[in-house]
Amino acid sequence: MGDKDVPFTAEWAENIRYRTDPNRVEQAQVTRYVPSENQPLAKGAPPGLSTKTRSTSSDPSAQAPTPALSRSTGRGGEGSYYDISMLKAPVWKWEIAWYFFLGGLSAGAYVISRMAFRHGKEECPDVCRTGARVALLAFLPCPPLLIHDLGDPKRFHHMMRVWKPTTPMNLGTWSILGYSGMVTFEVLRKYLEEHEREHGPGLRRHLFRLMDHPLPLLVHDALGVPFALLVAGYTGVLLSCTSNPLWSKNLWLGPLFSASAIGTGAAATSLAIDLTGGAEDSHSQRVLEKIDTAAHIAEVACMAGFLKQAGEKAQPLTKGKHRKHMMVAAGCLAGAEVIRHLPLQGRAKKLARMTSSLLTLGSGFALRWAMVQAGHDAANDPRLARIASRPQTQSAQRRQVQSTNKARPNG
Amino acid sequence: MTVQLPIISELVENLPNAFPPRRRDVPQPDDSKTAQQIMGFFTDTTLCIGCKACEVACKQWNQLPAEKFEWTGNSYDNTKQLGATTWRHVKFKEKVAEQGESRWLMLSDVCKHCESAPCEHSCPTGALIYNNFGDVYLQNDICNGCGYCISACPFGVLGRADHPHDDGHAHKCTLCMDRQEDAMTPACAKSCPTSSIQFGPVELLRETARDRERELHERGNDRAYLYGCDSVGDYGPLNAFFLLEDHPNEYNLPVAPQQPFKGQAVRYAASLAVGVGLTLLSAALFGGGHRRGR
Amino acid sequence: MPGLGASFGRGAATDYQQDLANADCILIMGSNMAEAHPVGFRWPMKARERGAMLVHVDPHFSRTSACCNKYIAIRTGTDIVFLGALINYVLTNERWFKEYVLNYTNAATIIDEEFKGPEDLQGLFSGYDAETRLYENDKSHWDYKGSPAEEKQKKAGAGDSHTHKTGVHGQSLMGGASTHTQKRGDVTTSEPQRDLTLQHPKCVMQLLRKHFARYTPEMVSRICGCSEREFLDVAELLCKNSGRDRTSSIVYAVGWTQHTTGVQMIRAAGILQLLLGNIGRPGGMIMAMRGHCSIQGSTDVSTLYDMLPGYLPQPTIEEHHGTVDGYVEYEGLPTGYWVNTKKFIVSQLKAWYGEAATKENDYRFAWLPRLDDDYSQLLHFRRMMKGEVKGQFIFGQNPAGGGPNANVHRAGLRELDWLVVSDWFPHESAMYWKDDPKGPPPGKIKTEVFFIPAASIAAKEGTFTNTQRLIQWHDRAVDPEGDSRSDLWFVYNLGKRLKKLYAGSRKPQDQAIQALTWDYDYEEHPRLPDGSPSRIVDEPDASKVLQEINGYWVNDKDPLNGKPKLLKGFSDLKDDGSTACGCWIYSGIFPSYERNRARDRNIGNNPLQPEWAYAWPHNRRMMYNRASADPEGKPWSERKKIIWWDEQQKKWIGFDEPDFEPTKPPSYRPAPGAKGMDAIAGNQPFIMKPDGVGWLFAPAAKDGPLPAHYEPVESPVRNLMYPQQNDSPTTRYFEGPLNKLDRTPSDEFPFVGFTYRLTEHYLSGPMSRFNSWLNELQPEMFVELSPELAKERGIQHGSFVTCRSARGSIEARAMVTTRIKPLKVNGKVVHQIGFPFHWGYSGESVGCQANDLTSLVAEPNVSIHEGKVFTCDIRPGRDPLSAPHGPTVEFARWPKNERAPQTRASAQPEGRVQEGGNQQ
Ligand SMILES: Nc1nc2c(c(=O)[nH]1)N[C@H]1C(S)=C(S)[C@@H](COP(=O)(O)OP(=O)(O)OC[C@H]3O[C@@H](n4cnc5c(=O)[nH]c(N)nc54)[C@H](O)[C@@H]3O)O[C@H]1N2
Ligand SMILES: Nc1nc2c(c(=O)[nH]1)N[C@H]1C(S)=C(S)[C@@H](COP(=O)(O)OP(=O)(O)OC[C@H]3O[C@@H](n4cnc5c(=O)[nH]c(N)nc54)[C@H](O)[C@@H]3O)O[C@H]1N2
Ligand code: SF4
Ligand code: SF4
Ligand code: SF4
Ligand code: SF4
Ligand code: SF4
Ligand SMILES: [Mo]
Repeated sequence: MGDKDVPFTAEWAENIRYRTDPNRVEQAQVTRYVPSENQPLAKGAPPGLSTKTRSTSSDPSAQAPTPALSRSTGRGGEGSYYDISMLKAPVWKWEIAWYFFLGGLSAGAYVISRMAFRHGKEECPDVCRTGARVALLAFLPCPPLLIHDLGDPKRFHHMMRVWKPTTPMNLGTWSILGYSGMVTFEVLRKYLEEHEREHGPGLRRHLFRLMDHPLPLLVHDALGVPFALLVAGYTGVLLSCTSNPLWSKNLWLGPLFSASAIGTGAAATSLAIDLTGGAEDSHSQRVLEKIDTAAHIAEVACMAGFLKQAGEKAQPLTKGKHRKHMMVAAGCLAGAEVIRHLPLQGRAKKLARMTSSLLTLGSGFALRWAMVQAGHDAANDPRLARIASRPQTQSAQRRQVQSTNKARPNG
Repeated sequence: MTVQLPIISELVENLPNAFPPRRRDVPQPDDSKTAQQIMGFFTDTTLCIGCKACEVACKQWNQLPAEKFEWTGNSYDNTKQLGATTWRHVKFKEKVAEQGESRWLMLSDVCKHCESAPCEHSCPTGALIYNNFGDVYLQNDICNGCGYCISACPFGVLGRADHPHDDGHAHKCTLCMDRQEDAMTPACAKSCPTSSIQFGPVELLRETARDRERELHERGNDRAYLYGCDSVGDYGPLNAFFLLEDHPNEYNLPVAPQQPFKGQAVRYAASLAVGVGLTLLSAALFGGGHRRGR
Repeated sequence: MPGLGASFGRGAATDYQQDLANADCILIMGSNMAEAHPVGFRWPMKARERGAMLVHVDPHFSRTSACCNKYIAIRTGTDIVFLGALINYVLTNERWFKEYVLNYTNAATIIDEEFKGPEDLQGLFSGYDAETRLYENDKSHWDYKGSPAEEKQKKAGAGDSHTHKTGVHGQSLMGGASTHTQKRGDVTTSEPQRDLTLQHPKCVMQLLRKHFARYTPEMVSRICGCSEREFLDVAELLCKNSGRDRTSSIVYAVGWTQHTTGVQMIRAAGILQLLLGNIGRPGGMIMAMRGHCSIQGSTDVSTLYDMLPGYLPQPTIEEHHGTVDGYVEYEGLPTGYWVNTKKFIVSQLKAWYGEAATKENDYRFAWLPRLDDDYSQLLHFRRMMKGEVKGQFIFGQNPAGGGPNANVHRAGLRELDWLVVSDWFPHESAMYWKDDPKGPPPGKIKTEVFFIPAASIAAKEGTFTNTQRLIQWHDRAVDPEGDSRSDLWFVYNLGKRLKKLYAGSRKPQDQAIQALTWDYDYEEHPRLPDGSPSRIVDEPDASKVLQEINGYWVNDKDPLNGKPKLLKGFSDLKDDGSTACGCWIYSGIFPSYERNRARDRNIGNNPLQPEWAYAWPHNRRMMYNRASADPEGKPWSERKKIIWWDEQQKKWIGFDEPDFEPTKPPSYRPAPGAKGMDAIAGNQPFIMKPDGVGWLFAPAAKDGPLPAHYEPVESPVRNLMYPQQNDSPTTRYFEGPLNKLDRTPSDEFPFVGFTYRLTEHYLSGPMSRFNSWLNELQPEMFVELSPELAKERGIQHGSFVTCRSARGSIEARAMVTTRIKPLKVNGKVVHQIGFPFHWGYSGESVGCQANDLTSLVAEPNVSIHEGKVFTCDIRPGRDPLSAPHGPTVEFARWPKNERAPQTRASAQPEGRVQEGGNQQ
């Protein structure tokens, strides 16, 4: 009796339908919604969702039915649901900000190191060598950070049970995996290169010979550099593929992170060279400075683009708690450029360069931190969530109405 | 959160799940008539009496814990929103008029089982899938709690069970897949006393819903409209859709949910463009030095 | 529910709930149906969607109001004004259903010439004795002209009056006289004098017109606080939706009953529905929404102190109750179905005392306990408080939380020597000695408390009877956990031990126990549904109990099993001791050993679903359904037909069992002096009434034959209807230090407090506040008040407030909401404050009890309290002294320490499954 339900048939559907009794007249016309005379209610659904009203304004809430509420209980105004956002805050915390920073840095350093290898083997061997080491060092904490961030860390390997490049997180995971292989390859190659002579012929020597062959090297770069560029930028794309008001669909987020990755990569390499007793002035350092400056210019442009596209939704960054982080990021960036271009010489120049690199790194981290944390605020802000959920352009609104019309036979 | 060190036995236990077998294990339809029906919900708020039976039935069937005891003062809604442990949630909004019609909006919210679901799109482990009833299903033994789906969902449906004793996975309505497999109605729809929640093949439900909307209009209820029955902009139709009587924001629903993955390729391209540009620039700079040096 | 019994003959909802879907208009008043009966509410919703109008008249805008087409706010306790004005509207605009009223009601009946009403006597009816605060029925003249009582009163004149025992409501429930001191049949006659022109000044119609003339729309707006317009809208809706082709229903519950005028509110609804012709017809009814799942069952097979099963009054110490015949002479009625009273009582005695009950020893009628006073709950606990009660069993009740003025109830429990509580949870009444924040320390309480774990519903079998008299059987699904046992087990084994204890006694007073039939053991070892043997060995067989309730032939054996043959229905009953029957109205539920009709679960095409369980009487789903056909036996209209007379077959046919003699033709007219059912004509649908018609004028209730408005005992305004008589003249007060009353409008308690339920919690809370799923939904005690009042008192939404009444104070959160409206009553603003009454000091969620504020007063007919209304004050701030110490049970997050279910579909590939399908 009763443990199996009625199968889904047309008659069954008929059963659950409520229909007006055809024998009923008169009151059937009187409905639940009789607007009072002095307070006529706007009729129909909000624009874009109903055929009854057409919207001309770009702000649909301006056309929302004015409800008869005149005595409000206080909490939660009109067109909102108390103080609760319709979106969930991201679960990503400090680990992710650090990962975004370190992963980007690593990828940037790696790309620069490879370019130095390809095009400046003679002039900038230090960049090539140090860059690879920085890349590896910066990368090492990344997997633990990512794993720690998971709700169920012992299942981190589930990321790799599918190949699903349509989701940035999966693509990113595979990229990281590929990238980590490439970085390891490179660091190992460098290590063997340096220790080859001391140990003479042997297994390692053969290995080195194998690795240093132009073909594997070509394959290595043909894969490694794209992997690195993906690692540098996918994080931004990942954020942009969310419904978070701050990040959602923002074209500039990926480029911003890419640029910042190269910039911080260059700065970290430069710093590492300086710390390991690099010269007061060298060709390598000048090139790195230029790369950094170019990255900074790109970063500023992307940031401007980001803020413009996000508009009001960027408020958590421009007005909220994380404004200070944003200011730190901008300040550090400007400071780095100013200090770098001070007309200094010798030791002072080196010190200035190191400060500038540090500031760049600071700026890069502050940017990631601000971006991740402000995402929390954005999602928790009910107003921004509402704004983010509106039809974003007029044409989108029109399309919406049309599609609703098409779908409804009675128009 | 504390790191949970993987216990060896647990790891071993989990091994088969790491790369589980694929497609061939999907149940094949023996009866062509029952196949290919996408099952969903039509939630008609004009019929909801706010009894919360659905919310409790869902917790009971799925053995979900109470989250916390918090008197919110938000009318009679003390659970606030959907989340890891609340898969049905009844919303209350008081609209009392001095004169004329006083209303109390009630809506039983649930995962929308979007036809093109951002959460499913986002999931890097493949834990979120479309199951054989066409519903978006979160496979609890695959999810690793990365949390991407939580940010991807434009309805704020998903939550991660982050309490110290919880499993750390994301959770959401399963559309009672386990019940459906036994040809039973989902617990929430079953318990709804007024058929405010109607369960069935979505095609049929959409028809029912359009009839219902038309009928309400004929009766003079101009406020009634369908939400999510058809696609909104680039957002496909919802398989759990609603009949509302006020602005969607009043129910904490987005006016026009966004498809966050739309334009992903362009954004990748832009990102790579900047990356490649700077790479080429650095190549040129290194190379330039080389030439000068010569 | 004597209000219904007095009007129609049976004290139960007149129809089945599903039939609400057929109504054209539903007036929900004094009920919060969507919240308290959400499942039943699907039927009004269905009606609404079919185009019916739903009207909710209530002090607060609840979820029910939100679902209705119309909501009208009124002041608590003023329903008689509203209903009276509706009656007046129907009468003055001549909107009553002429044929129905003339044929099926006592509108034309002429009443005793001496009768006087509130119009003549400043708010009182004739016969009032100010000293005893009672209507003396020897002097009241409420009876039919020509009835034996009238003759007697004529002769008697003033002077000799009887002592009256109040609160004894067995008879009035079923529509008889109001006390035992005169014969129940005396006040009426089956051949009353009637004036079909309705012009006689003492005919009921004229009395009604005169009595209700005062109840005008203007009075409604002045007293109830709603506008005249709102009232007129409702009146018009009801009138438009009644008549031949349409029917309207009224739904009420404890928003009416828990008032000192509760019975009369229901009476007023009865009068209105009779005038509109809305009783006994599809979609036309008065739906009494009852409470606990078998509360109807507990009045049927009575647990009330003053009734025997089947609505037979408990005999009293009065002399005329000395013998069966005396009892029957006084309690039976010469005409109508109650003529069979002797069959009922004799069969019941045979069922109880078996062979020991014979004709010679008067069927041991003398063994039945006799009543000498009112032992209803309120008075019982008052006695307890005075130390007059030594020990107490509490099965499934929580008087320390749910009882009105719980202070008194707890004080009573503290005076006990011993207390046995059998319950699912250690609730307020079991833990009062330890957890009561207002009580003395545990060391100061002498009571020894035993807590007996009760088996849950799934672990026992039996029946429950719902609002619509539907008796449904439930099987035992599992064995009870641990030491918990069913209540039946407990009572049965207690009985067995008592029998053993008294086995050798020769004392006459112990014979009743010795003779009691007490054999309900299983014949073979009971099994669970999965076929495994039950762990419990001494559980009685509940179906044997139901068989005894159904009744059997004492001497006629069933050839199949040699056991006594079971009765087919109450028409089999005999008064010579050859039948035994535990409760006559249930007879027919177990017609043979193979068939337990309460267990029927067949769904067919008949919308009444007659094969789903069993409804008393005789599986009739709609009572008085003879009224659905016109006097000639044809349905009033095609749309509203249910049973009709078939000339060919010479019987009543239709969708339902006729609530009428199945072969009595509409044209049948009784011979003069006919007795019993023969006295009921073929066009008289109310067969429980001696004159076969519905009573507009009912000489049955103790507080008047017609409803009159009196203010609640505690009210901030005076009675504008009858300025000389403020509250009901027959209310009993029990003033004392723990039960102070605020009987005149006072500045100290300027606001009206009223109580109600929330869907999320159940009664005083044991069944819901130990459940975290429900606690999460409503985690704290709150009170609802209007923004205007909040402003006046400086109260913030969500902050704590302290509420005080003359009995005590409590703290709660303030829910400031426009759902509560300040009302304009006679030009003055009256604020109302709503109190959900579900919290207490035990459980996972604890809070102050609304019942620490309510008063203990008793309505005269059924001794019900006025838990729905009191005066109070509200101030911002907490009240630490009354707040519970804290949860007595810790909230455990995962209910069974289990994680969310593991998926079975881990083998699913990612991405959309193209060729999905149902598994077989
Ligand atoms: N969820 C839930 N369901 C329940 C119960 C429960 O505790 N919780 N209890 C069960 C029980 S035992 C019972 S008896 C029933 C009771 O069922 P209901 O009687 O429906 O329950 P209440 O909410 O107590 O009261 C009904 C309404 O009466 C209103 N009211 C109060 N005073 C007046 C008045 O003077 N006039 C009018 N017109 N209205 C008034 C109240 O505002 C309230 O809305 O519910 C049963 N069902
Ligand atoms: N102010 C105010 N006071 C009211 C009311 C009001 O509206 N306002 N309503 C009144 C009404 S209508 C009612 S009915 C009363 C109700 O008041 P109570 O009758 O006290 O009802 P509950 O508080 O639900 O207590 C019932 C107990 O029975 C237990 N129980 C449940 N099933 C079983 C079982 O099978 N066996 C045993 N042994 N125990 C079981 C439950 O655990 C619970 O503890 O409250 C009344 N009090
Ligand atoms: S509502 Fe959110 S969680 Fe549900 S299917 Fe759509 S995107 Fe996924
Ligand atoms: S949290 Fe689980 S379900 Fe959500 S995206 Fe990550 S792995 Fe998929
Ligand atoms: S379908 Fe099942 S899981 Fe989803 S809300 Fe309903 S009961 Fe909960
Ligand atoms: S069960 Fe149905 S009526 Fe009750 S709250 Fe849920 S949707 Fe509304
Ligand atoms: S608790 Fe039981 S009786 Fe009450 S409404 Fe729910 S299902 Fe019906
Ligand atoms: Mo009750």
